[in-house]
Amino acid sequence: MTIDAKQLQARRGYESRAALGILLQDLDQSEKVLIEIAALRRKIGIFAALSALTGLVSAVAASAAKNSALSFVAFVAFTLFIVLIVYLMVQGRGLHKNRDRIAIAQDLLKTLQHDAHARSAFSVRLELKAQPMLVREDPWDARRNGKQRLFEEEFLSVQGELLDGTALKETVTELTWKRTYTNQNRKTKTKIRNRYVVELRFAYPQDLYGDARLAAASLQEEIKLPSSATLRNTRVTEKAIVVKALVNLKQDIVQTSAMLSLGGYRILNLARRVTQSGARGTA
Amino acid sequence: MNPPGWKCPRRVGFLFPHECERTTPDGCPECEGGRLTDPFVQRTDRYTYTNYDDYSGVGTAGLNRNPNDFTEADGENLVRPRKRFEDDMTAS
Amino acid sequence: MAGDSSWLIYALGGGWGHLTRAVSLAQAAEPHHKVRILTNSPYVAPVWKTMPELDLISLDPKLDFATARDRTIQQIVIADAVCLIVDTFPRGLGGELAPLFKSLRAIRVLVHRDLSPRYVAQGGLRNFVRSAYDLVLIPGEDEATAFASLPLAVVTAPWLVRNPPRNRKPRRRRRILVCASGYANELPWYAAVVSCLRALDSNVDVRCVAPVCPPGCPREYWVAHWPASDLFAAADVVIGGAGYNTIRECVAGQVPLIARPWPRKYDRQWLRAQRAAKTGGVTIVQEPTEAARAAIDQIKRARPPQARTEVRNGAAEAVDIIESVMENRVARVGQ
Repeated sequence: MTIDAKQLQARRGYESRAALGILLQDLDQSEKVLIEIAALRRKIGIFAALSALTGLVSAVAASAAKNSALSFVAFVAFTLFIVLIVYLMVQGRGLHKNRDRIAIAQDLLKTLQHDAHARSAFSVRLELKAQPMLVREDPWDARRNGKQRLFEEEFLSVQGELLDGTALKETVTELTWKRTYTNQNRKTKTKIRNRYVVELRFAYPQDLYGDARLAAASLQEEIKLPSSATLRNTRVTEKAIVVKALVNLKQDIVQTSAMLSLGGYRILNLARRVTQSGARGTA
Repeated sequence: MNPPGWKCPRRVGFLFPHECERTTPDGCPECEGGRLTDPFVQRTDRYTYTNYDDYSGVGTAGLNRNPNDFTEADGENLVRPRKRFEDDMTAS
Repeated sequence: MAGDSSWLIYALGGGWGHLTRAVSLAQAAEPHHKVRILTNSPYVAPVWKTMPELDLISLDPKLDFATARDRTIQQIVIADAVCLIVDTFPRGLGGELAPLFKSLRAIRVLVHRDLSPRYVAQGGLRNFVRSAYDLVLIPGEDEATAFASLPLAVVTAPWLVRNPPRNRKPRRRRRILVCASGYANELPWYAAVVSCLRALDSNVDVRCVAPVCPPGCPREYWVAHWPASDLFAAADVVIGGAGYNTIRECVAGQVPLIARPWPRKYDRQWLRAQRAAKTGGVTIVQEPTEAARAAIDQIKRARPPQARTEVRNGAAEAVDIIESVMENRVARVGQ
């Protein structure tokens, strides 16, 4: 798929269903487009600043010399400045701010490549323009005029089937806590904190793994995670394993995802050994 | 030189073991050109899961067998290529 | 015209599930259509004996892989059927159908029995079925899911080789029927079940229906009869595998089934048994003693109902659907 700025802008991100190799190429292209958008915005910003400066200088000179030509130049320069500022506010804004989400998506997909068929189709949805949803709003009594709001945005979702027939679904959600209050100088202050929820669901084939609950109960092992993450949920049923963790640092999302997967598959690999010894011959 | 139809008998994979599709170990990043005998077990990129395939210490009560015993399936993965699909006209 | 056309059913595969399903369809299609069945089941002889009118091409199951593939292709080309119906394996058991389809003009129908999801993913079968087939028939509501969401998929009622009789045959003695279908190397398991049953309760009436007397089973308990479902009406409980026909026929006949799922390369018997167990009437076991105990418990608990509710045979429905696809094709060509 050819990715261009218009497409990214219209979709507010990237969404596709294709083999992992193709998805990685598309994400690579998307990143290049965002880099180009950022470079263009920088140039436009510089140009806007120059226009503003030209306008200001022309306006001062026009006022001092009472020169209508200089007034016209000032008018044009200020108009250009406003047009460029509006362009910067409308075009590509917000998209490049979340460029690091592309790297997260790419690293997650690269991990899956080890255990997925090269031609197996995966669905990916990646939001690049932030559209957080307000989940909760409460007063924050610790501060004057204190208010805290919790926003949530599921910005990445990946679905597909691994080589063993397991249907995988993974989501990454950004949680944003925004606290506003009035300080002693009567200025409004805002504090923002981000955390991330990584959730994986493995719907495993029972002919290969049997019922994984027995293996999970025997393993008695908590899933290992990086230090910035905490395990929120591990659920094993006769059809699926669901694991969820809360991550404090964005840079640890990929490692958390990999370790959650490894934890889930520690259970499944044990279940497989047990099931295969029980059945005479493998299907 | 490998005979025609030769397929690498090593097991690869990050999350679970599966067969390798390569027809030569030359240039293979998984087994490092044939240096590693069991690339699945010998991976070093599983963060703190250093003994990923080791289940010693797992309580066997309730399981029908000790999971640390090798099974036919483990043996197949290590030694012989696993059965593929569409290779048996009497399967079901 | 959809009537009086020639159909070829590709029913290759081990055991006799594929053959039995093919016979169900062929019976429903005759006499309007000339149906030929291509099979390599080792159990053709009892089928021929019961239904000598069937047009069966039987390939030797002991043929080597390459020869079996070649003979299969040969038979498909020779048949030059108007409609090719493929049971279970969209690309053929040896992948031989995929290249053949490029030159085949026949209407193509897939009978979608359960298939290993690993095979479906590795073979890219969803895309293949979508592009290569005109119709996908799913013989039973929850039988298969891999291609169920394709627009060309249609679910029918389960296909039965015999419609179960409305009324059960009353018997004084409770009967346990051990139904040994599946592979030859599984027969000793069924023989062990018969031994366990005799050891647990020598008064219970036991019969073991199998193509040959299972090794270790006393001959006086063995019955050679096909289709085994003819004997279900007189049984209070059946002990069998968890293949398609055993489960569907027991459920249709409202006979409790003690099911032993067997490992198969493509079929998930374990999953089918679990689904059937959830709706009731099926108990899943592993060991012969477990099966015997479950059967004895079952006959102590209750008798199956004397009058059975009306059952729809999906094979007849399938024939109607195939005919309408054929008519549409003819109409499109005529335009």
